[in-house]
Amino acid sequence: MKKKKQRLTDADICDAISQAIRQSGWSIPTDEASVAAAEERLTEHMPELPNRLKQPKHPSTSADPFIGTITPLWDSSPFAEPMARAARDGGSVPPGIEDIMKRDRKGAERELRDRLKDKRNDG
Amino acid sequence: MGYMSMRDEDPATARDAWAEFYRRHAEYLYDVCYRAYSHILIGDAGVADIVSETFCRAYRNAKLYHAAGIHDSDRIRRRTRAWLGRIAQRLVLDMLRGAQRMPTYRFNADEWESIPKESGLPPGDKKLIRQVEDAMKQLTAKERTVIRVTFEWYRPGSPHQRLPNGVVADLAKTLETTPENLRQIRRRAMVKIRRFLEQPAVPADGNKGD
Repeated sequence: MKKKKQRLTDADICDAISQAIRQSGWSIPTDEASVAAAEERLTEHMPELPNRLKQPKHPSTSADPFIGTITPLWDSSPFAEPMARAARDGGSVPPGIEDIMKRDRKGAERELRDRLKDKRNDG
Repeated sequence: MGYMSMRDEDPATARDAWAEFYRRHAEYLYDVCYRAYSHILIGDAGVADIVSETFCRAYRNAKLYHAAGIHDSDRIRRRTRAWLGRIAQRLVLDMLRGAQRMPTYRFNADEWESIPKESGLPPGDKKLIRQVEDAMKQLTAKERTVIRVTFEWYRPGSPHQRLPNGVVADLAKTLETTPENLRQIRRRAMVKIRRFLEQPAVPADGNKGD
C-alpha cells in the first residue's frame, strides 16, 4: 500500500519548527513551562561555569555594560576564539591574528567614515 | 528580588541579595544561553558576556520584576528564570540587529512584567516536532543558523510572520551576508524542511508496507 504524503500548511511547519527549537534548547526559555523543561535537562548535565563567571563582578563596580565587547560571527573562524580570549585575558595576540584585527579595524573605520559622509550628504 | 531592588535605600543588603541571586541562577542561565547562542556568540566567551550583562541588567531593573502574586517557590524560581531568559534574549536580539554598542535600556514595563506561564504555541504534534528536529539535522550549518536566528522573532499565532526589512538588513550585516542571500538561505532551508516532513514515512523496521 502506498503511503500518502501529508500536506502541511506554512503555519503548521512554522509552529513545529518553533516548538522543535524550544524543545531542543536552541532558544532561550522565556516562559515558566519552557524553564521547567530546561531545568529537567540541567539536572542530567550540570555545566561548569567559565572562570570569569565563577567570580562575577558586582554590577555596581562595573559602569560599562559588558555587551560592548561582543562580536558575533557568521561562522566560527579559527581566529575568533583566540582573539576574544586574548582581548579578555590581556594575553598576547599571535602576529597573523593581529594583522587580521588591524585589517578589520581599518575596514570598520572606513565604513564608519562612509556612513558619516552619507549622513552629511543626506542632511 | 525584593532585597535586590533596595539598592538605593540599602546598598549593602542589595549587594548581598545580588550575590545570592547570582549563585542560584548563574549555572542555569549559562547552560540555556550556551545551548541557544554559542553558535553565534563565539563559544563560551561570548555566552559569558551575555550572562554577565543579563545579571547586571536584572540588578539594575529588579524593581520592575513582579512575582504576580505567586507563592509557590518552584513557580517563583521558574518565573524569575523566564524573566532572566527574556533579558538575555532581548540582549542577543539587539546584538544581532547591530545595536550591541548602544548601552540602552529599552525594555518597557510591560515587557519586564509579562512573563507567560506557557509559550503561547499550541501543544503541537509530538511526532511532527521530532520530525522537524530530524529535518533540521539535514540542513547545512548556515541554513540551520539562519533558521534558528530568524525564529527568535517568530510569534505563534500572529498572521504576518515576515521579518521586517530593517531586521533582515541588520541581521544580514551581522551574519556577514546580504539581505537577499539571507532570505534565499531561509527559503531554501524551509523548502528542505517541508520536503523532509512531507515525504512518506518509512516504517522503522524497514518494511515498506507492500
